[in-house]
Formats: sequence, structure tokens, C-alpha cells
Amino acid sequence: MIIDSATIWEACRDLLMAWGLGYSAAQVIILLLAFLVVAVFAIILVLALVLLERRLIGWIQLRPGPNRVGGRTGWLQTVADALKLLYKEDIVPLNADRPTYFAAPYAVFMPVLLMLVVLPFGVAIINGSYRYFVVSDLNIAVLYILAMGSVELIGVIMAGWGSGNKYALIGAMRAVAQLISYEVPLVLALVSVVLFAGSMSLVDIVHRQSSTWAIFPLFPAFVIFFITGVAETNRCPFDLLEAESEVVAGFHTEYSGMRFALFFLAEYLAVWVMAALIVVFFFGGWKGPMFLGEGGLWFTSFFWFMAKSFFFVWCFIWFRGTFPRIRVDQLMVFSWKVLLPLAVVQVMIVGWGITYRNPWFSANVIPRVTVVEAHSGMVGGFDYMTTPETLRHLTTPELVAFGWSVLGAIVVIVLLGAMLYRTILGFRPSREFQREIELKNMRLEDAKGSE
Amino acid sequence: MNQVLDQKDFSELFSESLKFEYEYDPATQILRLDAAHLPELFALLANDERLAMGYLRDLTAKEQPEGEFHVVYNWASIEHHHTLMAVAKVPGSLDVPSATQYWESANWMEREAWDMFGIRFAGHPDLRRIYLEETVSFFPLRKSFKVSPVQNVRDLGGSEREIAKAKAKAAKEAKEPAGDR
Amino acid sequence: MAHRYTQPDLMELRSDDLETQELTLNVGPQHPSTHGVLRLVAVTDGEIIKSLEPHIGFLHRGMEKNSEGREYRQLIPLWDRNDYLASMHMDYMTTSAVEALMDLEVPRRAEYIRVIMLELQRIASHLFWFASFALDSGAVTPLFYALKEREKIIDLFEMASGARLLYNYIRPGGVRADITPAFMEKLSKFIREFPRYLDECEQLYTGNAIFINRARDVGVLTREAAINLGVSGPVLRGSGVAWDLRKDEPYSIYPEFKFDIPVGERGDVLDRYEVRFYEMRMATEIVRQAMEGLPEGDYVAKVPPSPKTKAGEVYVRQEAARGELGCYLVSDGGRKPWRFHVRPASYLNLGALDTMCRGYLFADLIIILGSIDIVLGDVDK
Repeated sequence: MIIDSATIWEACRDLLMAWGLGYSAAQVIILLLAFLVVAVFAIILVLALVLLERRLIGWIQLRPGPNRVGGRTGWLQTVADALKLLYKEDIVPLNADRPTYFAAPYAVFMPVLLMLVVLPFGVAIINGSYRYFVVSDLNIAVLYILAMGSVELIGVIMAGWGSGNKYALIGAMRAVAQLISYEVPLVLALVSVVLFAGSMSLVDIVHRQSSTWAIFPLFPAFVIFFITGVAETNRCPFDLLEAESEVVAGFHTEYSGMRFALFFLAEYLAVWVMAALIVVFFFGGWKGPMFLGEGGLWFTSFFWFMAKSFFFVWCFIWFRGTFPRIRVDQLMVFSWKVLLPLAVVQVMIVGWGITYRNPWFSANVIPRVTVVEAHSGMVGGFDYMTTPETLRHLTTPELVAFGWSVLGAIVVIVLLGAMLYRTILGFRPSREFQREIELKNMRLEDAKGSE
Repeated sequence: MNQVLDQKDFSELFSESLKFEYEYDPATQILRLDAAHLPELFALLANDERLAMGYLRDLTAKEQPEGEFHVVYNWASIEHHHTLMAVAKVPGSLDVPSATQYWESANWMEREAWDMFGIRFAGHPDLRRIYLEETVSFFPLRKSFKVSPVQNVRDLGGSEREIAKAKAKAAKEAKEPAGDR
Repeated sequence: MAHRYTQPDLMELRSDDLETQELTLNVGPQHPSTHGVLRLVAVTDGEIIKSLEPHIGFLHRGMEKNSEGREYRQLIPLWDRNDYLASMHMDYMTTSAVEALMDLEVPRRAEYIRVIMLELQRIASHLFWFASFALDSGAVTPLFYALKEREKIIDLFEMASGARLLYNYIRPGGVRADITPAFMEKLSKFIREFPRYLDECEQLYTGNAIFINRARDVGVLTREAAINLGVSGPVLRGSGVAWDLRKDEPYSIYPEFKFDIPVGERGDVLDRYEVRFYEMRMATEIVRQAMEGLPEGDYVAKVPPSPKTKAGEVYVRQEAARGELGCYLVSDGGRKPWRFHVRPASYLNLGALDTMCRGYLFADLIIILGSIDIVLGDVDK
């Protein structure tokens, strides 16, 4: 039995410390490095994904897709597109609510990027202990992911409101309605997974699926999660908020240049993250097929994780290639009247199975991996209450993290406050309306002058 | 040329039902009458079981060389497979009773006739121009309307600014006539 | 089956003390799915459309006025441009109106070639409709499958007439050029393969539950309303009226062919959709029969370069891709028409949009509009 398990970064930190660096310095260096690696990985992944989607959709639609830049495969196409977008003029509509308008792309992109922090990409067994490829093995990772998914929503509303465009606003409102209603069955599907695994840590959830992938006992939950996942990432057939036949391009109608590219980046990254989450929750994460055993090498685990997640990305692209768009009210009906009852029943069944030790849900219980040295990282440091007493005992990196999160909270509060102010108190009539008032005034003045 | 499957001779039917002057040619199925008598014809066509002209397929107008207008109706009966064309002579006041209360399809077609010929359809629920702007003052399909550059910007529904510009230009030309010198 | 949202259902849910307000919504004239420059002003109560008014005329070119100053042969390329997705039908409309006032004996070979072209044009137009309709409902892929097949028809037209969109091919007395053996070979290949590709299109889209839910019981036009509103073509037949001018007021040599008329039951979007698909299959069948019976002989009668007609007035109509395409020609016996009036099918079908949309959701508007199959050039003349 392996008792020592930690992230691969912690192993590297120990290595740095063995070279003589102090704990704090090593921790800061390693976490920065970890985030940098993940972010660069994300960008490269998105470039690959966009190309993949365009080639695959092209294949479905009887056309070649990008086939000029970088030879017949067109592998440089997305790079060229990104460069082109960088050089494009950054157009700001006159009606735009400028701070909101500028902040929105980042508010959409950052949460998706931050989701990568808890995704376990794979595992390596070094000196007899598990070393996970994950920036931070959060013990509340499921909650964290749901929270990040909801923060993304704020960015969408900001974009819709800030653009000062009716179509953008309608698109954003549709997004809010859709994401909120689909979040409920999504959370309930995850509740059954969490009940099944007995943990909210993604690493633990993967470990729990050693002998059986969770899709077999939790098939309804998988279906619900898959469908809501498509809806959460606003992909066809749930791409109502950017339905070009109805609301032009939805919330990012007015965006151009690099800001538009950020939305694009966020959308594709979210697609991959959602596919990866499906793999983690239901398909045994980095584990290979069961008949191949655990698979000890780090690159096999990484390979299986990527292969499985790309299979689901392919499914997403396939949907887009073949499905028409669902109508906005049927979308809601489907969520509240079909998915939600199904998810509730599923949670009840799983709960019953666990309470009564039903072998289908509890036959393959393995002893939970003892996490020896987790929860000392930057994000992991907040699993206890932060009181003035505990603050005094914090190490420097933990204090930096605390300050950072306080700053983040202040920024979010200020942004929300600004939006509320704009909405309620600082109402600005649209330009046409203003012009109408001006004309009316002019007519009044004319009437006075004639008298 | 279309052949009509079950074309009948309506001479008898018309002579017993229509109490006004008309001309009917069974060979071409054209009925000529005065527009004032149209309501009686409409009622007969829509209500008589033997005619049952439920389908008003076309309505248009034409101008005769001598300057009088005709409104042309084309009906078909989907039940009985026969057709009828009526050519109604429009009085000088250009007022014609509307067919909209019997056939809804007349709605847009009468608007078109008003737009193009200036024929008013009394009883039409919403007689506005359909193709051109409301501000336009001419009726383009009249023979008196010559296809030539339009002089008045307002006739094209131009903006206030354009009208002011055109006026200024006209005033300037009036001051110094552009003659060859 | 899908829930049906009619006005009374949702009105019952709403308590009386809630203050509601009617909202006027404007769609277009610049909007991606109004098929051109069409402006729709809808009065909605919440999401439900209470009334809808199409504003047209943004593309009005004064075609009828222009026709009055032109000789008959000049009219054909002029009216080609009216319905640019079904130019052959426009050619045939002008031609048949002139021929009706000319006492011309059209050679049988020319009539057969015309039927082949008209039915191919019907298929091409319906395929384009399928592409844009699928696009309106959010599916992009059918567009490519439909346009791939349409491209083959356009290639055929190019072989026959030299043009790909505006053909100017059918003319008084016959057609402009004879069809060649190479054309026949390509055509027979197309007719052989096309039903299979049509099946492919249907497999891709027709059975999809999302699509069925959106199209079933949406945009219902009853039989009586359809007749009274003067709609024609697939919209009329979708409402359950078996009225096809090729059978009911036959023209050209259509009585010699065997084919069926598809008729819908409910008059909703799905019925119109299925009627059009069946019509494509039937058109293929007609082309096959016309190919088998194609006689030898002249392809055009002797007609003076600038034909004169006898004085008189005539209303000719044909079953075009979008419905009844009528032409009212008044001649004073000269080389130019005294009055040339066209009754485009799209025009009256669009007039029925208000009736079709009332009581349905605003989100249904686009798919209902797509099911009518309008061409704004045709509507606006």
C-alpha cells in the first residue's frame, strides 16, 4: 500500500529544498512554475483544439477546412488567426459601458484557466509513492470547479451589458437563464459522484474508480452530466446565446480583435475542461482500460487522460456538426422537467445504495489514499478558518495568498457594485432616446421662438 | 397557356343573378363590369355554391390608352376547378370597393394597386403604400409617370438635410441660370 | 409530442393582477436570417407574438414599369433577376405569357426540354431552401450537403445555357440551345444518384428529435385560412389542399407525365418541410420520364427576332418552386407589352406570415419564416 502521496510539484519543491532553498522560496518558485506550465499548456491546447474542430467540422461538412497555412494540414492556421486578431483594431462601441466592457473578456477567461489548477492530468510513482500531475490537490475541488463555472457567468453578463447592444444583452440574458437552470442538474449529478467516491478531491475520485469506472454504477448521472456539460459550455445544440439566426453572435457581438480572441479561447478551453471533467468523474481519469491494469508509467497515465478527454471533445464537435438548435423554452423545459427529476432520483438511489451497502455501489471500496502532506500549498492553505490568531501563524507564502485572495474579493465586489450602480442609479438612456429628447427640446424652443 | 379542367359557361348563372350591365365572354372567361357593381359580384362569387370562388389568386390594375383605369381580378375555384377573370372599370373618383372582407389575399394586392396606380379601395382595413415610402407623391405605373430622373428629393423620401440641400441648389440655379455662354 | 404553446394556454397561467405590457420588437431589415432585406415588426405579449407586420419594398426595382418600355425578348433576362433562385421558372413565365398571345406551335422536343429544366430548377430551388431552412434552425451541415447536389444541377444548366444562375434559356418558340448527348449522360447519372443523396440529407436532419420538436405544430395554417389568404405552392399543399397547377390547371406537356401531389395534414412547419422533400422526389421522377420520352426534332420554332403579339389580355400561371407564378399580360398588338404584371408566389405567401405566427413564440418566428421559402427579390419585384 502506498501511503505517501502528493502532487508532482510538491516533490519538485522537496527537491529544491534539498538543494538548499528555503521552504517559502521553493514553494513560491514551484507554484509559479506550475501555473505557468498549466497556462502555456492551456494555450497550446486551445490552438490545437480550434484547428481540430475546424478540420473535423470540415470533414463532416464535405469540405477541406483550413488547408493553406502550414501545408495541407493547415496546422499553423490558428496561430495565424491569433496573430491577425492581435493586429486588429480594438473597436469600442460608443454606447459601451467602458470598464465593464474592458473587464469582461478577462472575467470570462480567467475562471476557465483557474479550473485547470485542480485537474489531475496523470500520476507517476516515484520511490514508491504517488506523485500527481496536479497543481493543487484541493479537498473541495468539486466545489471549486462549480464556483469557477459560476464566476464565468459574471463575465458573460458583463460582456452583454457592457456592449450596449440589444443582441448582446439578449444573448447574455439567455446565457444566464440557461447556465443557471443547467447548473442545478449538473450539481445534482456531481452529488451522486461525490457520494459514490466519498470525497470532493478529484484525485480521490479518480482513485475510487480503480476497479470500476463510475459510469457503470452511475450511468444516469453520466448522461445528465454530459448533457448539462454541453449546455454549460454553450455548445450546439444548446448554443442559443450565440444563435446567429436569432441574436447575431450573442454576448460577444460587439467585440473585436484580441478581446474577441479571449472569448474564443475561453470557450474552447471550457470545452476541453468539461471533457476532462467527464473523464475524471466517470471514466477513471488517468487510468487506462481496466484490463491493462493500473499502468505505472507517468506518460501512459497522461496519454490515457488526454485520449479520453479528446474523445469527448470529438463528441462535442460531432454534435455541432449534426444537430440543429433547440428552442429557448424547450431548453428550459428539458432542464427543469426532465434532467432535474432524473438527477434527484439518481441521488436518492446512490444514497440508498451507500446507506445499505449495496454491492453495486460499495463492492469496490478501497481504503482511501492517505494524504500525508497536502493542503499546505497556496490554495490549499485555506481549509481552516482564517482568524486573527491563525493569521499570525501563517507562513509568508500563505500570507501572500491570503492577501491576494482578499484583493481579488475586493475587485469582484467593486466590479459588482459598479454594475449595480450602472443598472439602478446611473441609468443612461440610449443614444436614440437622447436624440429624441434633444429634438423635442428643439421643437419646444422653436415654438417659444415663434411666439 | 393553361387549360382549365372543368370550365363552365356561366352565362345563365350570371344573367339570373347579376342585376346590372355586364359583358361576359365564355370563351375567355372574362367578365367586364363597372366597379360600382363589384360588391354584388363579390357576394355572388363567394357565396354561390355553383361558383365557390374561394381563391382570389391575383388582383391588379391597368390603365387604358384613353386614361381610364381597370381593376383586374382573377379567381379560381379549388373545389370545382373553374376560373373567372373580372375586369372592372374604375370611376373617375378612383374609388373601388375592397374585396378584403371576402378574400384576405386581396389585402396586400389592393395595397399594391394603390401604391402603383393610386386606386383607392373603400373598406380596406389598412390602405398604405406597400413598396414605396409613404412620402412619395407619384404613382409609378400610371402612363403619365415617365421613367426619368426624379427632380424632387422629397419624392424619394429624402431626409430634411437633403431636401434643404436640393432647395439651396435650386435657388442657386434660379439666381444664375446655367445657360451656355 | 411537443408541448403546444398557444396563446390561451399561457394566458391562463398569468394572474390578472400582474401588469403586463405589449412589446413591439423589430427584426431587420439587416438581420442574418430574414433572407434578404425584410423588416418584421412584431407586437409581442411576453414571448408570444400577438401580431406581426412584414415591411417590404426595400428591394423594389420597378420591374413592371421597366417591362413596359421593353421588347418581349428583353423581358426574359429582365425577369430572370426577379427570383434569382428559380430563374428557369421566371423564363418560362415570360415566355408562356408571350406565347399565349402569339399562336405559336412549340416543337415537342422543346416542350420536353422545358419540362426537364423546370423540374431540375424546382429541385435546385428546394435544395437551396433546405440549406437555408436548416441554417435558420441552427444546423450548418445540411447546407453543404444540399448545395453539393444543387451544384450538380447548376453544372447541368451551365452545359445547356452557358449560365449558372440567370439562364435566359427558355424563349418564345422553344429554348435557346439544344441539349447535347453529353448533357443527357450527365443528367441520367444525376437522376440515378440523386434519390440516394436526398435520403442522405433526410437522414442527417429529418428524424432529429430537436428539429421535430421545433417544427411540429408550429406555424399552423389551416386549410380555409390558406385558401382565403391566397397562398400557393408547398405552403398551400402543406395545409392540406391538393392544388398543384401542373395537375389542376395543366400547362405545357405536364398531363403526359405520371406523378403524385404531396399533401400535408396539419399545415405546420414540418408538413411544409415534408411536402418539399416529396416534391423533389417527384420532380426527379418527372425528369426521368421526360428523358425517356424525349423526341427528336427541332428545339425552337421559327420566331421573328422581335416578335409581335396580337392585342388582348391573358393571365398565365405555372407551378413554380415557391408556388403559383402568374403573369398578366396586356398587349396592344405591338412589340412591347402595354401592361406586364407578375404575381409572385412569395408575395402572397409572405402575406400569410402574420396568420401563421400569431399565438406562437417569438423564437418560432425564424423557423416559420424559413418554412415559407421567400425570395425577397421575388417579393419586392
